[in-house]
Amino acid sequence: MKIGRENLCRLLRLLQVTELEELDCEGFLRQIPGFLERSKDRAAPSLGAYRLFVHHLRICAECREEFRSLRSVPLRRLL
Amino acid sequence: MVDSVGRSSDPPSSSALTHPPVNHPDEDWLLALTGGGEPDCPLFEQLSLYIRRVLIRALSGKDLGDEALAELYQEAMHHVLESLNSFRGNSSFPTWAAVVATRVAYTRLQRREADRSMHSDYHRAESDALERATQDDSTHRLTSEELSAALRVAIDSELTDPQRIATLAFLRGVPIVEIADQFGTATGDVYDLVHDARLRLRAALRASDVGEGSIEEADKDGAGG
Repeated sequence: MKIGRENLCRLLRLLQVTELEELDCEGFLRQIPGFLERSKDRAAPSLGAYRLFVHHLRICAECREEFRSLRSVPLRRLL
Repeated sequence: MVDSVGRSSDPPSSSALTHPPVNHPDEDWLLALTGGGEPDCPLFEQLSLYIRRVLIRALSGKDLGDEALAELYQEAMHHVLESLNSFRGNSSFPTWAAVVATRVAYTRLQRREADRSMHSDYHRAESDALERATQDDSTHRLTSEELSAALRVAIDSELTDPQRIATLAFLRGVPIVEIADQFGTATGDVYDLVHDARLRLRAALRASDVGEGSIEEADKDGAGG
């Protein structure tokens, strides 16, 4: 199966940040509401508690885009 | 559209705008939305309006028309109401509902793009665009021939066919939901497939003649995309 040089590079970057334990997209989704609320409370979420969450952001471009768009929404003001 | 509890998930009427915004306890939301409240309860209208506002903001960069937004809203609202029993109280109910609705909308949009690709060879165009976007000097000087060769060998020898297909699709930017649809499986299974493939490839590279530090060296030279 053919794989281009740029995709090889992308794969190498992914391999460098690959962890034994990772959140999948559903697990990531479950943590978004809590993360959003804690970050908007200015009680910065402990990175330890959200280590896997933050890691997933590095791996998954789709979740990253979705999370960025959600973070830009003033959820409380819209209610 | 009528949801499982018998309420319409049509966009809210203008009367909803007259309800003052009130922060309700999560129990009130759940009670009202799972059938314990009145059929035309204000909380349903408030949630409906809220979800619509959230989607308009969250999808503002997507250049969607009113009709497309209305469809996404319908589907998202329906899904939120169907998923009430998965609310665990790790956040307030409205925040949970906003996140669920946004995931539904994004997933729908990804599927729509994938559908379009069936007719326009979208994947190839997207892949080419990605390749061009990432082509710069650093990309071309980064990967030693030995490392590229070792990685190609590992992809061929260490991965199962499904792992190879899913991993390459993932690298090309095909949405996980689309890969899952093609495989007839859940997105979590696809993620696990690609994750296991990455672990295998990393182990194979580290065990190869290329050496333990090769992955890190490649990245240092500009492998990051």
